[in-house]
Amino acid sequence: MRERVKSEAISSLEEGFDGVLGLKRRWGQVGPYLFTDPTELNEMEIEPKYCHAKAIRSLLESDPGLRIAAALRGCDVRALRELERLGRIDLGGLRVIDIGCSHEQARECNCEKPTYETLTCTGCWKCIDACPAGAIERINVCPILVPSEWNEKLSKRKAIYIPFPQAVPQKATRDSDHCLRTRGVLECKGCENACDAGAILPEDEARIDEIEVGTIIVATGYDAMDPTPLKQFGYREYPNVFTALEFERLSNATGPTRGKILIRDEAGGFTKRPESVAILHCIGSRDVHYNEHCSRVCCMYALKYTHLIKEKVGHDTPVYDFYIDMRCFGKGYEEFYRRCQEEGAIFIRGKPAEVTDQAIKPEEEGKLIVIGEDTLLGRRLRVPVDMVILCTAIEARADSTDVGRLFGVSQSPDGFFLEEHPKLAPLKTATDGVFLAGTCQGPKDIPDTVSHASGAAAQALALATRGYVEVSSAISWIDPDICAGCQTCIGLCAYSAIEFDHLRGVSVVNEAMCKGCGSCSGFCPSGAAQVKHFKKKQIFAELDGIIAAIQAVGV
Amino acid sequence: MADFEPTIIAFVCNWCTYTAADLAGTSRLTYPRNVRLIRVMCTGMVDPQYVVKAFLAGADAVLVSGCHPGDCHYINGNFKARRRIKLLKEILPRFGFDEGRLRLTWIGASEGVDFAHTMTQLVDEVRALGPNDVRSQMVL
Ligand SMILES: Cc1cc2nc3c(=O)[nH]c(=O)nc-3n(C[C@H](O)[C@H](O)[C@H](O)COP(=O)(O)OP(=O)(O)OC[C@H]3O[C@@H](n4cnc5c(N)ncnc54)[C@H](O)[C@@H]3O)c2cc1C
Ligand code: FES
Repeated sequence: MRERVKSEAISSLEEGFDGVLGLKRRWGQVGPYLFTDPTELNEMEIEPKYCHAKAIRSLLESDPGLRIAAALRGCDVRALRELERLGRIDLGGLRVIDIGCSHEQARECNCEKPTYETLTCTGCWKCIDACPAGAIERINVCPILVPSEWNEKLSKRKAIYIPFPQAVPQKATRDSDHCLRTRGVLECKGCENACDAGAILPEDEARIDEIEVGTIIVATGYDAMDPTPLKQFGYREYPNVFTALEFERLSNATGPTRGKILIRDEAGGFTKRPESVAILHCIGSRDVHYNEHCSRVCCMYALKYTHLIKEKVGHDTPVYDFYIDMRCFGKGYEEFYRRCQEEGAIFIRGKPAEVTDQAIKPEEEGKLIVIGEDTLLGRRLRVPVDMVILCTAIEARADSTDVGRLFGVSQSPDGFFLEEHPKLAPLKTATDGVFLAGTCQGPKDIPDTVSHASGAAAQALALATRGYVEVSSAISWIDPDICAGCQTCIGLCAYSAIEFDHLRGVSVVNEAMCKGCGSCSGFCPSGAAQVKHFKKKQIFAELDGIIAAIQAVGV
Repeated sequence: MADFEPTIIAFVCNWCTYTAADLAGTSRLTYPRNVRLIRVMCTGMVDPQYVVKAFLAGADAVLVSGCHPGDCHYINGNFKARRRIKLLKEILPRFGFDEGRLRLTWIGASEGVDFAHTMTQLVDEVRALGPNDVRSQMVL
């Protein structure tokens, strides 16, 4: 490491940089020093960690023409970039010589988050080193660019990337579907060479770990509906028609526009400020052709967008909310609706019929026109805007059926997972020990998701900490006096709960394993196997009772 | 014949069809009262004897209904039931029973509407078949 830093420092001086900022031991102490003489560089130290951002700032402030190189760690670089973003510093004259932090250092600084065995990544960001050109086009050693899932494909990411800024653990991961190395296209070692922690394992592969658990919480969430099939709203046809999730990224500080609400220009780049915005509620929700259910959160996030646009783009920006009904059901929600009305947002009751770019009036030229009806005024409308946001439905995930089967959870008609009872057991499922949390059970906002999930966690823990489980009394019993020892039941039992007692020559049910399905009782040729509470005698008595009643008084 | 009210015995599994029937009830859906449910834990529990006994006791039709294939709460009980009903359907006609009087359906826990609909349809069909008089012809 030291050698590389030193050789980069030497070449910087040779290239004519005025100096190299690094560390030097003087009077028994290591401190910052501006090296100007290449021979002095022998004395350059890289340990311990020292923050240079302040020194660089004062150096560059005192002489803006200065060109210096500096041996810096990831945290320093991030600090400088932040200063640059705030306009306090111009990094034009600075060359960064990277010092990758050691694992120990990262732990000491608490820079390190919990580690997975195979990943010794310290989260130094060196492999994804931020390029001054912007967070979107992070220049790193990896040559591959893939549309970023996190940013709803509005920006690109590398084949080695940290999934999103708040990822836990905050670690780089490799996309083996795109990485040249893992695909066997090229012996690319870009990231491997850059990573000083040695965290990138060339032969590392995804693997499946089996973990034994006592309870399971299913929290698989939802899918946001793809509005492409609703052709009338022009998603994908017009570049400035966005889904709500796309808008979410556009207004987010870590998103592709760093939180500036911008629309696409003719070239497709995000550069233009929208002069007016239409927000279309209930796209694919409360619609018999797509989802009959209400997605529950859209009214409120649409209000959030209304407020954000007013705040970020300007209070004079017209925002049109096209709604069916405003459902502001939660604590403080109605008040927020009122606040948005007072901020001047225009609420139009009526679901729009179409979004088009076919202007028929001069003021519609170059705009998207939302065609709809104000059902309160009984008037047809054409509203020209620059940006259209579609509040698309929250749907059950596409893989719900498979996931449900895996855990023995059924689905409601809307596809979401079915709770055991809508009022008395909204967190439980028909399978003991499997709980539901969040939107996999039905559309919810974050407060409701958190409440639901906390409840599920508590119930799961209650079951786990007790240390024992109660088994149903309705389990099978094989009468040893009747059992002929044919062993038919053993082959039928889906839980391997029946064993053969060779000594007595009879089959015996293991009470801890039997689930009481009655496959054995249904088949037992001699009638020895019977499920308690569902014995033949009991069923026959029930049957006789039913028939006797019908014969006495009719159906 | 027009005022013939069939008696139908339905063996329904606790996890799917019974829950669906419950849902039909809490959703205030109506279906003919000719169907009487006998709850079992799983269709795999339904011994062929139960079906025969129901017919002999005077049922005009017997329905066995459980979870959709693959959804059985006990892994594969409904597959076992399916095999058994198939065999029963082959055997019953030899005793003079119309095999159409034995039905097997899959109605999932959330399908309350489907449950009410299936029951209505079943009752209509059995009404068209007329009373099950095999019992009276048998020497018991
Ligand atoms: C456009 C939009 C804006 C919104 N704005 C707001 C807002 O402002 N305020 C608010 O309160 N709510 C808002 N919501 C609602 C909010 O998104 C949800 O309430 C919340 O995300 C639900 O959390 P969840 O954990 O149930 O599901 P999710 O957030 O969907 O999380 C589920 C997770 O499970 C993972 N997963 C799925 N299947 C599997 C599997 N088989 N194995 C392993 N992992 C799996 C998924 O990858 C995902 O990470 C908004 C929703 C949308 C669509
Ligand atoms: S539990 Fe419904 S068929 Fe087995």
